[in-house]
Amino acid sequence: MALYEGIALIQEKQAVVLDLGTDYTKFGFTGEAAPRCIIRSEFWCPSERRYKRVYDYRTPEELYDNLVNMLHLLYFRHVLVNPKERKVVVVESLLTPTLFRETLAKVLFTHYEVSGVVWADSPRLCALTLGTPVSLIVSIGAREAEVCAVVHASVVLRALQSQPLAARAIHDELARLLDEDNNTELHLSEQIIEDIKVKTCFVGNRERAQQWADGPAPTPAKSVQYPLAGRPAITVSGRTRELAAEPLFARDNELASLPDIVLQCIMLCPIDARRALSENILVTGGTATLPGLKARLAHELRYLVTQPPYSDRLCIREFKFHKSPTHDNTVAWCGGAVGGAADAGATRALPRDVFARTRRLRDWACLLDNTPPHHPHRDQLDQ
Amino acid sequence: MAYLTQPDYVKYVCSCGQLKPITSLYFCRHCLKIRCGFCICHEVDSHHCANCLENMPSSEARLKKNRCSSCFDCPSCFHTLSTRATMAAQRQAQDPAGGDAKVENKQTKKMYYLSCFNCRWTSRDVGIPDQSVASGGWPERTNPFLSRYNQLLDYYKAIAQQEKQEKLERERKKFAIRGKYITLTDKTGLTGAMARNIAGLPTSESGSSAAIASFTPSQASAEVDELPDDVYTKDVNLKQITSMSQRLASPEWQPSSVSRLHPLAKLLSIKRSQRCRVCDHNLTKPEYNPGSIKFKIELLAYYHVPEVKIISYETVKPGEKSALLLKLTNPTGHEMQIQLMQPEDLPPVEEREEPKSIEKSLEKSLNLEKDTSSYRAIERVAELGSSSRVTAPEATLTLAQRDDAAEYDDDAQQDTSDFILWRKSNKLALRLEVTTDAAATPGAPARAALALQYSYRNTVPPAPAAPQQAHHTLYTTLLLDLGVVSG
Amino acid sequence: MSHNIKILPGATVCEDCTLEGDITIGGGTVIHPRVTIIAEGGPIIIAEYCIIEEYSTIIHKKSDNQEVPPKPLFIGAHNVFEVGCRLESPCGHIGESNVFECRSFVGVDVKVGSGCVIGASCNLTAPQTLADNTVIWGSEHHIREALEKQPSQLLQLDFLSKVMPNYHRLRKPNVHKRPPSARQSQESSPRP
Repeated sequence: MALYEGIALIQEKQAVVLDLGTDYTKFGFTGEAAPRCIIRSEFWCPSERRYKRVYDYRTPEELYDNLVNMLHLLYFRHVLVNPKERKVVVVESLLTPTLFRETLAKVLFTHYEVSGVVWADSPRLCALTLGTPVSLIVSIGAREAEVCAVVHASVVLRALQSQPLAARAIHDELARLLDEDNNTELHLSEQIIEDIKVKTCFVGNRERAQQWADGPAPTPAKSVQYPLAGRPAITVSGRTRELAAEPLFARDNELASLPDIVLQCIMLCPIDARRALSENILVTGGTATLPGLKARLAHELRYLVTQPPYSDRLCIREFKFHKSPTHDNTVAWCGGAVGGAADAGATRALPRDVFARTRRLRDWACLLDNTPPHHPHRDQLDQ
Repeated sequence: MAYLTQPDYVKYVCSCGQLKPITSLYFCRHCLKIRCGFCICHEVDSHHCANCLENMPSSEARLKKNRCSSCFDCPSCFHTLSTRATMAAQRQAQDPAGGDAKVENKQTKKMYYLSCFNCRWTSRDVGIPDQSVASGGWPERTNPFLSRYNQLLDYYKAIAQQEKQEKLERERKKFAIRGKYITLTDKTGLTGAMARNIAGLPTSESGSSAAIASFTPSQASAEVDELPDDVYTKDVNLKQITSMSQRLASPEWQPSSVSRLHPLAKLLSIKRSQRCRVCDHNLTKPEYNPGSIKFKIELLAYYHVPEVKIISYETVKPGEKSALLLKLTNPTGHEMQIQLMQPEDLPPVEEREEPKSIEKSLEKSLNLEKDTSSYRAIERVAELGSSSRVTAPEATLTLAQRDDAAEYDDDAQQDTSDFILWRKSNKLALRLEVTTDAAATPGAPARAALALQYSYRNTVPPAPAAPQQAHHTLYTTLLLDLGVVSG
Repeated sequence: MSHNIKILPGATVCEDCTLEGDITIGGGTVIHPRVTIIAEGGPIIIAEYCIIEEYSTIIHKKSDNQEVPPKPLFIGAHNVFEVGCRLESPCGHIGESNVFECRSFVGVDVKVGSGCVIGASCNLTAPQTLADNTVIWGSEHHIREALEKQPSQLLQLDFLSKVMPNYHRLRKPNVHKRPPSARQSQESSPRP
């Protein structure tokens, strides 16, 4: 038995893990601690003579072409393996559009003829890197912040929270503040905005944010002269550096700020899991690397939980945070690499022949997949 | 060749419906069809370093994570680093007594460091000591998270092992427990066993349980990384902070400070061989030697399909006729009969081939490619028909075979036919008429579609089982770019 | 315009170059053919051991608020001006051991320190001050700080001063006494 397994292990090619993010794509092998490459999710489009983002698509065919080109780049320029007859672990958000999933499946199975695909959602993969039974995953990516409670390896779906509070929100605010600083409309490219954010911005603490909002304004941090190619340098004031990430924490009547959605997620979870969730928070995603963001989130949570409406519904007073065993932007990828290596994608992959027969993917939002077998309506679904 | 820099004026319709210039198309001699990069299968053939042109066997490449062991990229600007030598004085030579230059020279030793010619980064900038050998020996770093990662890996492997064992046992006992509810773990969960373990269910005793028992889950703490105190008072030196691309170039470390940038071992390059998806024959196969740019097999459309070039054209006006001069070239070693046609007059090639390809697809258990491609083709052909039409003469044109020696004859033969401008060995210039739709909007790109029927002599030795005929009549559609419709 | 060109002994200056105005060229400096140096706004002083390659242009531009007497443009020792670069700085001083790479352009309001590298085809037009050891490269004008000054090109200088006379007509050094300013700068420059 063991002998055969050994042979099977040798024959089974190392699977690849694909995390196709909005801004950055992480790609590498299972069983490795870091992705082989983290590249922008874009490729050179020779007919349009520009870099084209994978997520810029208007028609399903365009998305298909984009994915074919992007995967070609990943397989043949960066990871240098044959996609054929190799399994793929796809790290996806629970809120990935169906069209995107299905097109990706079509590209992987028919265009690249991979032997199997494991569709794994990022919150549970993030939880894998911790090894704790209960964890609250706050992932702040490019477009959206998602808060997911993972309780004993299941996502509490009804508590899933998502708001467009991520890198894009920061970039927009930063662009606005920079225009204010320099009294002109700068029209900086996305890359430059990102570079300014990465190099200068930080998230100030709660008290200072309060002071900025209500006055008197605190002494701002040092301003920076940011040089531009072929243009005069621009000023990045201390205020801009500190307040660029403020939209993530801006509260209004909708209670849709980042700390709010974290608390709402906890509130919607079963009561016996709430304490464990608040004591097992993992903040991941590229935006989480912004200096001070985690500290600010912790402070906000500790303050907000004492305020209505949370004070009368939540009895938690303590928030504890995990450190992931990898960089913040590769946590989900890393979980995929660990999980994929553990069972070598053997048992949970959707094999190619099955996909070719059924032509569909399981999806948590689909009644076909989430109706229990003894449910009265199950028979109608099976027809 | 003007193909590389200029826009593609003449595009061919690939059998999958893509429009590509002839230089990026392939011709499968076994299917007798045009293929393109989109509808063929790419395969990694061999690994090599593009800088030192050293071949690396795939197994070694896998071991070294596809990185060259002697070449490095600049971590600052990603240009290739060069090794530079300096004469470093040895410690003893720095005595105050050793003032004499000649004495000093004798005691110097050659030391090497890495330097970038583009951004002037050197390995000395980040404090990497100079090396006494020219290649190799550069300090290697390990991933700071590696040990924790390996713990996780052992743990989950043990769980997977245990899960498998349990499953086997269950099967042996014919003791099928199906859960009543499909949980999310069933869908994709990698952690079913983990949940069971955590829930305190008895685990089957095996060697792997030790790994499970010794595993400690991550410990949360109330403390988070606070901002450094000096963040409000410290000046920011932009030159000391790395950019996103510099960080992401080394995913294991992602340094945020310039002083932590280390040379990046150069990523290997590959040679690809390309294969027809339908018949599994190679379309291109490169030579093994990394320095060679030749191919063992190269079935490029450029060598098999008549090439059409636009010599000149009159401005296209809506509802009017304009002249178009084309040049046809026969690239093959055999005489070729060509007839110009309208794209809609082409015999329905796809349908004739359909039964065969369905068989193939059944064999391969699936072929979705066919669906998308054929529907693509329909869509795009419909699109090109709308603007202009080329009036195709009925006559069949004969093109001589390619003859390299004939290149030196310079007497262009004058033909009697009114639409043939001149004829020269395997080339032929035509004067054609383009009729433009009266409804064409001025300013829109003027495109004319044209179909070619050409005879092709197959030189593949026929398989013993199925004797193939050597002469074929093939069709191809192409799209001519005639500038813009003028007002 | 006064043509007052002083070439110190040890300098290699090709005849086939355009030198206009009050220009002083230090010893050990090599000026390739087809170089244009125009001192219209004030004198230009080039210190020792500079290499000025073909088609490079150094102009001391006339400006509206000219000081009287005009301030000289002083170019420190061990600077390398590569093929086709252009320097239009009236800002008094260019430091030492800078490299102006091919087809780079340094505009009017740019102050250049020492040990800087202006990368190939970089256009510095906006007013700015380059701190010592600044390296600029690429079309995006990436900036980094080098740890040490660029190594001086003494071997190359040696070679050029030996080879140039074999292939080009040279201008003869016309000053035999070192002016005090040049001597000072040489003493302050690091000994190779």
